[in-house]
Amino acid sequence: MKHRIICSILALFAFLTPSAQIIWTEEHTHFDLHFEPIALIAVSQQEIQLSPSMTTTSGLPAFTDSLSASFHLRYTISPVSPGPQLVHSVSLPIGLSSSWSTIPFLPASGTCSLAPSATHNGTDQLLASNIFGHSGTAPQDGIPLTVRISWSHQQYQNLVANLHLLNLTYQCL
Amino acid sequence: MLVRMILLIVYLLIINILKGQSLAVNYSQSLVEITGTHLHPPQTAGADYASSIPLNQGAFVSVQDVRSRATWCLLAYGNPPIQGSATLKIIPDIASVPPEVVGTNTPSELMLQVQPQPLFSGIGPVDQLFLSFTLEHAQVSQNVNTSPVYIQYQLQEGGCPPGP
Repeated sequence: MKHRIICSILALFAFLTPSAQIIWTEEHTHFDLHFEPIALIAVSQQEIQLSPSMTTTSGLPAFTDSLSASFHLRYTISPVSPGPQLVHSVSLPIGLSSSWSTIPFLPASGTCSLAPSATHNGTDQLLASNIFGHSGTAPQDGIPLTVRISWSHQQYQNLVANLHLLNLTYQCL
Repeated sequence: MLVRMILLIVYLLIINILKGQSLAVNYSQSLVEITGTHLHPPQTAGADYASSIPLNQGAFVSVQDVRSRATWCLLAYGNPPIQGSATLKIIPDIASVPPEVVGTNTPSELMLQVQPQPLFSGIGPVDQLFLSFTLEHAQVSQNVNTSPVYIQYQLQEGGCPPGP
């Protein structure tokens, strides 16, 4: 009888004594990861060399010239604010006014996409374009962007050199 | 004689049951920011996040109310997982505690999974064991806004099992 009692207590002791499989305690924790919106837009800098003077049959420079250049636009965007805007601006040589437009591009995915062609008839600074689309965040390897610039005969004659640098900047707001 | 023995056993039993091991984990930050600086170098447009991002986050672990020579194993698991394909790596800093409290089979790092994995093998009470964290395989297209990271820590008696 005594032996049975001792064995029972020992068995109970062994059962309740923690073994390697017994969890003593557990702690539940958490913290937050916040992924900041990322808006990186890069436009490869490209020099546009004006073509040799374009002449009409009369031998005078053409009244309006047109340039077009394709820019390789690469960007990574994570969702920004609702209704994001892509704003681009161009800086032209002093004294040159311009009229220009961008060909719309609609990336397959991306937070910002450019709305229909933007045309500016101002002086030397440009322009805001409406943005629509909010369709994802996949990085784009390249989006062709065409800028056409035209100017008057007078403006054309004011060009002091054949090489001008057009600085285009893009910003996703 | 028998009564004394029974009383002793019962006493040991009660002491053993009532002994409450304590585990505390304190993070240095409640919110960790992931920004454009964490993109894969050179961090230009079109880049995705770096495959491994050291987080500006640390944690101090304290294990108390254990016998001085008791061996134990700290395990960790994450449930639910982090959004997308991102995972969290936890690295115990063995140098942050005296060498005599470090048990055998302490892993060098732990990839957080939904099942408990050994993180640290200890002997006796441990104070201020430091943990560091890295975010693995985050993607710009998948990881957005604020994402909670839930980590559960388990304290088990006995050392950690040998790693694979």
